Amino acid sequence: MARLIILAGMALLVWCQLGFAGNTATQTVTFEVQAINEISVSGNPGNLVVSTATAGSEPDAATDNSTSYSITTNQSSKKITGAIDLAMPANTTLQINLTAPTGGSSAGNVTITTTAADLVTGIATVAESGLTITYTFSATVDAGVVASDSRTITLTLTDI
Amino acid sequence: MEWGSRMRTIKWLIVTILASFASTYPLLAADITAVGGWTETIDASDLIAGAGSDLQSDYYSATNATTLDVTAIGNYKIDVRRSDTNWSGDFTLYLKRTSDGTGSGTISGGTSYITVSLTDTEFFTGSLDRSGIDVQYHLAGMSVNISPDTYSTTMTFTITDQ
Repeated sequence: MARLIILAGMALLVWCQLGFAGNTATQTVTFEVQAINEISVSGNPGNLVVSTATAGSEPDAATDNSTSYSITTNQSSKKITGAIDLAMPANTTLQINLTAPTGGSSAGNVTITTTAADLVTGIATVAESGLTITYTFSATVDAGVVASDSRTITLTLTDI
Repeated sequence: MEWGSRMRTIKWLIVTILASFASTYPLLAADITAVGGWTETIDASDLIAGAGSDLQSDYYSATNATTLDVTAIGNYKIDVRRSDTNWSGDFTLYLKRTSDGTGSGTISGGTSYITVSLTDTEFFTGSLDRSGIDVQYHLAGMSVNISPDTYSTTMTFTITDQ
């Protein structure tokens, strides 16, 4: 009787060892998608020269729309702000107008200063290029003659 | 009840228990182990052409991202499926076998990419022992529309006697 029970136990043990040796194996595949917020411009605009006027009116503004920007973001609730590095000469104004990417909203002509101003808001996941940048430089007669100068404009893709 | 009769009853009882156990847990003559995995980080460097462009859609693991070892005393097949922890419906995950491994057995199929779904799909078949079977993964469907996050799925390789 005892031999029978031992034999049965051994049979069960062998069965368990064979039967539960494992017939599956697992592996994990993991992807981390990081936040991507990239903006770039095509280059520098041409010189903005104020040189004409209609008699009786302020001088004609100079415009340039030869440049564009590109944007890629995989996040939502983003905006583009813009600022210049140095204040403009007295009685002169520099405006910038960015064409909005799909889904975004352009603020239109925005006078740009050393304080960042919103240029495009409501940007969500997008990858677009060739979006027009329009610069408008104007000067009143009170500005007088202003020597050629330059400013660096920084466009920033940031959270709303 | 006499001693002999009692013994016969006990024997039948044990046989019945073993038979029941066997039908519940069939004897498996094959085993599979897997080593490795695949981790990929997608960032701005994966944009096709910098700002203004989308992320590249397809990513490939090393050709030996996973190595499988099989022990078997006969013919078998390997199925594969995935169980998502956090996954995007835009993703499609593929895998293929990139080496035959070594061993006394044979191996067949699985050398072209197959889609890994949530249900078992036959990956390859073989016989007897085989070790060092390399596996490569391919992910498709990445874009800027995929929110920043960590996406993970567990691949389960199942070996079945044939």
